[in-house]
Amino acid sequence: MKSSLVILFSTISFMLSAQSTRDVSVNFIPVYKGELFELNNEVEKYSTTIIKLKFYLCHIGFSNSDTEGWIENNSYHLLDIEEPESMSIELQVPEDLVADSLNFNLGVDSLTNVSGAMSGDLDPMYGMYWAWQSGYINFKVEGKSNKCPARKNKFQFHLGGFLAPNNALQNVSLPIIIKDEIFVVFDIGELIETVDVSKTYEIMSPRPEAVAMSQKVASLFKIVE
Amino acid sequence: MKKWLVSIFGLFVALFGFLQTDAIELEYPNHFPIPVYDFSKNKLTEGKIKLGKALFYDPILSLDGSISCASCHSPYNAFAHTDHDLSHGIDDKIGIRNAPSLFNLAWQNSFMWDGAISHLDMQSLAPITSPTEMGDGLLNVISKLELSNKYRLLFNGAYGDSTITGQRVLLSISQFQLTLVSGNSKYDKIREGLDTFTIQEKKGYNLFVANCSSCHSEPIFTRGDFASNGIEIDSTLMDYGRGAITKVKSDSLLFKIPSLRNLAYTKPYMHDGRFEKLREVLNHYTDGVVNYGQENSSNRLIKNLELSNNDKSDLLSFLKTLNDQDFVFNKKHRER
Repeated sequence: MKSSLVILFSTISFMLSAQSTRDVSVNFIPVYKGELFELNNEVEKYSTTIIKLKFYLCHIGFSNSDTEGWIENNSYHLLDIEEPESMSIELQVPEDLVADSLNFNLGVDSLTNVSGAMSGDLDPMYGMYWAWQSGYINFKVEGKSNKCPARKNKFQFHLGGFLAPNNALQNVSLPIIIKDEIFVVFDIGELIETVDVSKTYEIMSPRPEAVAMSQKVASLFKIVE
Repeated sequence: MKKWLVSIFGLFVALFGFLQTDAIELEYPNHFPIPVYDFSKNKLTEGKIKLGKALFYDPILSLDGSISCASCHSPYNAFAHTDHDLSHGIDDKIGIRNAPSLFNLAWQNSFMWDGAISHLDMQSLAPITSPTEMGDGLLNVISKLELSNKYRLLFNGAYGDSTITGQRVLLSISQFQLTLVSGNSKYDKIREGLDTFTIQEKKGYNLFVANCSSCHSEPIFTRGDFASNGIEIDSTLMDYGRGAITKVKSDSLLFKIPSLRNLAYTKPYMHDGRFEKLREVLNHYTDGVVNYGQENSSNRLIKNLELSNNDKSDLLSFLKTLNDQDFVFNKKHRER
């Protein structure tokens, strides 16, 4: 009796889960001024080394000007270039989804920021949470440049902040044609080479500069056809 | 025979496990408001409280294994650090603020003297990682805990498996701290009709209501936000309090309003522990208020209060009714 119930339920849940979805993989590729680069290896042309690059990408989904679109449930992803598998987000979207844009938040929403200790990618053990004050770090890039006057030529940008007027969260919307594999490049060199690390090399708390740099970061994401 | 014993043992373990994971309600006096902490997301259980208590008292949380939470938040001092004006960390490092007492945290929604932390669950992360306090990191703490059989058992008892995550560490420490309810002082007994003020205490209570209660509101004895009581800025610390967090000028020099409960156990006083005696605190209110050119407001005292020496004695007499000996001597809150 029991086993037949189990079979019945698993069949139903299989049918429900199998109901017309398709797998879409969204892959993020970091580049430095258009070139692929490796962590901890100098990009020679620019005498710059990227040591850390991690960011939160949340509430990923697709939309179309005529439809409500689709947003992944419980959508919180920590992307870390040290963990290559984290750079690809696997989604199960409705089979019949019509969409012309890919949408996501760069950073963690304010409600989640004030909801206590979280699990999974939001677990504060990953070092993407400011401990001395409340709040997730939305985007973290650290590296070395011979132009940077700081100790050991290190620049560090920890961007975040969820309270007005310094809310750093960014909405990103990119035009796409929906397909099984979507590739998104973001040019971190574009950021580092435009901020002038000889003058600006440290942002470590919520402030207007963090908001401005977050806007710049949001503009780096581009779809590869 | 042996099988029989094993099954009894199994039943016992199952029963014990059940009891450890059964959700329990926080106990607090009838005259307290409803807690602001959202227990639905972190339901209290014996197993989690036990784990949180073990973590609270364990120096394993600090980088060199030298200090625990209880080093600066001692149960005998209502979880404050008597006789230390500024907090102490690893390698004899000294912080910039006085370690506050810990109780009635379920009724607080911001933490630290400047309110930098907006949720109890994230509070313990700050001292664990601060270079002048425990100087460690959550990942390293987890790897140390994973090597300990004691913690494998404690995590198993709390969560049903021995996986250790940052979230579980933080939620458990919250659980123990949430059980630190101080609500059995003479004042509380009076509120419940079980005792009465002496004439002097009553005079002091009336003075408290007239002069102090707008910030130190009953029955928690803090309204939970930030204010300036006009103390002069310490030129060696240059601490602007809340203003440094919000970067808003009108928040400059505001500090968290502390509760007035258990003052007998928690000297020295103020965010930098500058006053040793309560009489000095009252003398500050009548003689020492400094105005840095700001407007009078509900969160900024800009001129001295008028209180006679007799008034101060009456106030001190009332403040003694807020000392909760049952809380300070409660064995349940101690290490073992």
